[in-house]
Amino acid sequence: MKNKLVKRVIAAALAAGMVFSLTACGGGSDVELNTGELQEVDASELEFPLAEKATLTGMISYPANTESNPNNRTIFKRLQEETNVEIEWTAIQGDQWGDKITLAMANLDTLTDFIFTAGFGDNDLLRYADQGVIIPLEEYIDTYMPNLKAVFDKFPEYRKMSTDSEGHIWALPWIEQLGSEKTAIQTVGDMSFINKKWLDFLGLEVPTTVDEFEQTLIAFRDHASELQAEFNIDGSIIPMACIVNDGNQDPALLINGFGEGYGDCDQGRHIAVTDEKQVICTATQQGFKDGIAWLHSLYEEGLIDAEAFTQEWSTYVSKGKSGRYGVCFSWDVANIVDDFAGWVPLPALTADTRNITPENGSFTSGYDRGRCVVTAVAQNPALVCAWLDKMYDPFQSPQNNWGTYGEDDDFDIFELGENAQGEKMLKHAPLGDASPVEVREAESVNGPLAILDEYYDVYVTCPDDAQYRLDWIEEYYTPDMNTKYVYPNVFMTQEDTEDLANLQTDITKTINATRSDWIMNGFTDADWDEYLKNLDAYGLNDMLEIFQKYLDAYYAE
Amino acid sequence: MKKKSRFARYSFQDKALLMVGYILLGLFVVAIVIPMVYIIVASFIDPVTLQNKGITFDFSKWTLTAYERVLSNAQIWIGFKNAVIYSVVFTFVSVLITMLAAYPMSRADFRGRKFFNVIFVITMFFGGGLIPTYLLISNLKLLNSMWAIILPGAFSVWNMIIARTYYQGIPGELREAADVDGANEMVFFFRILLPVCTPIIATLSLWQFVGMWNSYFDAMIYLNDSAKQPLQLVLRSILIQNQPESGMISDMQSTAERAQLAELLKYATIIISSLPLLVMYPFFQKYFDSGVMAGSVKG
Amino acid sequence: MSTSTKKKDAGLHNSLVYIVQHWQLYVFFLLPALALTIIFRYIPMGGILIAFEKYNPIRGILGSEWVGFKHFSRFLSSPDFLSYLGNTLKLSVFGMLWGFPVPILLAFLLNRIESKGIKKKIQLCLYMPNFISVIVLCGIVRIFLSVTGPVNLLLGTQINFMTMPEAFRTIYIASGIWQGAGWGSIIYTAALSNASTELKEAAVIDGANIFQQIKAVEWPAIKATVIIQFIMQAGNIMSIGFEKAYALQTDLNMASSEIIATYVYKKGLLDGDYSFSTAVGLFNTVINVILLVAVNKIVAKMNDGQGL
Repeated sequence: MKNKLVKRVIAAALAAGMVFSLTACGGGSDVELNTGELQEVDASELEFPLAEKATLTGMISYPANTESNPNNRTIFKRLQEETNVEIEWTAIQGDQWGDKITLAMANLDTLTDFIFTAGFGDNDLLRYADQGVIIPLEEYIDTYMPNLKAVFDKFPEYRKMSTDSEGHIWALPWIEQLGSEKTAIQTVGDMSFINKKWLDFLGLEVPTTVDEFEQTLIAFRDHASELQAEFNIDGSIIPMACIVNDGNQDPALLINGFGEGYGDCDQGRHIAVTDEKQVICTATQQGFKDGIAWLHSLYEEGLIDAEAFTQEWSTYVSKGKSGRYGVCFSWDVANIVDDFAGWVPLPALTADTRNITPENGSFTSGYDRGRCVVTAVAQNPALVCAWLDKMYDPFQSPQNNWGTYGEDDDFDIFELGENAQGEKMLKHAPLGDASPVEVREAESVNGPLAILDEYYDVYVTCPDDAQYRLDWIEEYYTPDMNTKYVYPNVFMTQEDTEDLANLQTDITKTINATRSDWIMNGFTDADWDEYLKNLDAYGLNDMLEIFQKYLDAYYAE
Repeated sequence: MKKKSRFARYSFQDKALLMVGYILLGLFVVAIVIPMVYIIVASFIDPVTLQNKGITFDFSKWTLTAYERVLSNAQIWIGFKNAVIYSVVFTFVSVLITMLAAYPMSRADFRGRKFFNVIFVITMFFGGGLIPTYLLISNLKLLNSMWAIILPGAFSVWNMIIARTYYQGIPGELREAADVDGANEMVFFFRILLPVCTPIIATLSLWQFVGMWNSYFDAMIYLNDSAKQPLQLVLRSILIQNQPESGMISDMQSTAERAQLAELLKYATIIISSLPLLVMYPFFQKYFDSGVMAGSVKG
Repeated sequence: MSTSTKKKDAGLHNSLVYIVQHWQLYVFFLLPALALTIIFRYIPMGGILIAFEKYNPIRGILGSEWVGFKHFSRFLSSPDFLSYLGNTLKLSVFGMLWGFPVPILLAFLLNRIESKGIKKKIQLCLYMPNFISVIVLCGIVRIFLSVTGPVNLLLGTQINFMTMPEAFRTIYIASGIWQGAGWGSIIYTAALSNASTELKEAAVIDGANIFQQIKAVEWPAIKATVIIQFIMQAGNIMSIGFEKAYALQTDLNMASSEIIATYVYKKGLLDGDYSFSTAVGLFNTVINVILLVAVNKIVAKMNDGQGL
């Protein structure tokens, strides 16, 4: 009797719950939706400044502790004057963006006409496209976006990279060329640096082979007390510091020369392209096996930081700032050490061969596919696109990306100058004491833009920290880049993107865990065989097949 | 005559047993105090020194930079104010509603008791999830309002059950005495019952206050104005360290700088966010120990 | 037949009379809670449907495509599912085993401290760790357990605790007890304060030793609370949140640190795949409910019919 009552109550409650929810959460809202078909607008209506002021809505992220109202930023103020378009912004703090944007995309009531700093990955783009939340833009680009079209015409690979397998472009890209092909700034991410001061003090040369490198580290280790005394170092000497499996702090560059020279610099996917245009897994090659074994031997001798497997970035930096490192890895050594002048990049080490494998996707330099999207809520997509096209103006893009000129107070990133032809050009201004990062964050707006190599010294000067890094790459690494191809930035179908994501979760996890484990504890041949078997079980071949399919398609055109 | 200490009156066995218990308690307390002291001291030491030397009581190395940075940040004070407001309002609303609801649920004669019990308990396990709740809040036009973070969590079934249990533990004489005096439900509740429930009110209040004070997720998704953010959210944005992504140089530099700042402020922010709770706590403390019997039934 | 219907009528009649007589109980006492529950818990419940759909915000909850059990099968058929399930269960079961008695013991010990001053100070110390957020706690754990950290210094070793799968569970549970035991004892302390002092004095005069005192006086006072707490915790066995495990996870201890919640976070939430994560949440809930009902029945039998 009691049970029946309880059961009945539960059933009734659930049913009531369902009924209530039907009323509250059912279906879409009253917002009129854009189906994505091209809505033509007379070109004259889009001439800026508009005759009648128009209002659009947009979503944007901003770095914490900077101006929270985008319309107070000089760049947007100027744009509003120029175009007579007012944007009602929904501004979300950068550190909350990831969590909030997915919610925002699920709620039609709060969705805006466009998302300025979306930064969506392929998976997200295709999912939103499939749901109909964002609209395809290829026709709008050709008709209403002359600036972007010009960029695509100059570099057709960008158009190709932005287009999905069905010919749609779902987002406006972010393009920042700093070098190209083998001189692009992205070719070497986890750059290796060596402490020249210590080398000079110990009378050593910069090592060129893996054996010399090992000897150098040993020298650092054995002469630790002298180094500490000479350079007033608090704390123990760490011959080689890194953070295994952590992006640019991983020491993959060191083992590039083992085996056939494929290295293992792609930590998300562990793939590379052979000179015969075959996609291989770098983590199953002989070179990988030998390289990891060698790293383990370094670890055994106490040459690698014991915390290299678990430490956080901040710990890594703290130790570096106290001058305890002999060798370290990062995007830029200036982030890790105080004594910038005492360090030099460490070029390739010869092992079985000598090679630096450029990072996948780097030949096209800086490119972010899903930077800006237009949503189904936009009532006048042509106007939205025309407005967004202003961002691709060669004089506007550098400002959006880095900062602007002519603010009454505070420092500016730029000052207005002239180029060799006497036309106006943005010059990077001296910042004195101000932190470049803070000024950039205060003034820049990011979003979709394109900065091409040909703009430098015509519309804008190249930023200092980019320039010296480009120089490093050209001087120390490009000569050793013997690889012909890198994996390009392809846009897969939704199904393949999902399949790949599923396969990768397990495969990458296994590879990375194994890397750490073996560098720390070593491994046997039996371990190696089992590892290969596991990867097969997780579908490694399927993964490679998907990659191969798109590589072939990419080069077929 | 001075009463012999209770402890002395225990038998030898009991004394030994208690000693063991107290030693364990002592160890536990020490295990808590040491890391706490570490954090406090670390908040005065600059991170680079901390990393290399560990904490040192060499006062010359101590610095107030972390605190200066934190306390001079206007956003922190705004967050503080918001956190106080939200926590106080939430605690008041929540404890009131919970104590009210638990009363009828604790009475054996209450009709529909089982029915409501089931209704409430179901919600402890089944829920719609983030998206439907978010859509609901959006439909109710509560987005960006303080009530979006207060109302949904205000009634806690768990707390109600605890309060209910407590009510049931109160001797029935109280009720009989009230009936004799002819009091109605409300009078009985507010004049007679509640004053005797101070331990449970204090407990629930403390729980709810701390819960709201330490929470950030709801505030993060429902509140958009930076002027409405509570303290934990502000601290989180200081402490979040994202790894620098390659290719975006400006991002590189900023992440590196921000990471260093986060490292510097890590300990100071811990202290600052916990201090108010620790200060408030003694206020609640005195209610924990007052027994039910004190003052209610005399002779 | 006629007698039972008469009884039912009488019952219904009595109920209505009661409700009218005690209307305050319903309208004033219960209504706020009830209203909040219906609005914020029951109305969104329809959202469970998301678990069976391919949710599309444009079509809404009712209009999205129905995929049945696809998400569930995706989850259950992943090769490491059993490992995640096992890790989750082990964490919570062992966590309960070790963690449940500690607050009770603390409450008993505290109760017998005579000096109010000392008692207050100890309580303050015990409650402190609870005021730290989970992320900060994990940061502290990492610092203390690092190769060059205080624990290693104390032991004179160089063990990298965070890389050892065997150590993960201990670290997780021990830090949980460290943080929560003191706070958890509050509820028992409050209940103990209900224990009649007269009874206690009487027991002591009768020459009862500690165990007998506890059995006669203190245990009855907290028994109900202990039971409820136990049942509730048992019913939450599958609901370990992902934050702490995620924060304590490293590449090398994944064998024991990858639990259902962290796996779902990586697969589901990071991709915004709400359908998937709702499905797993539902799966968790169902298991929890089964456990809850089972434990409730068992406890009720042991306790003459008094359960949740």
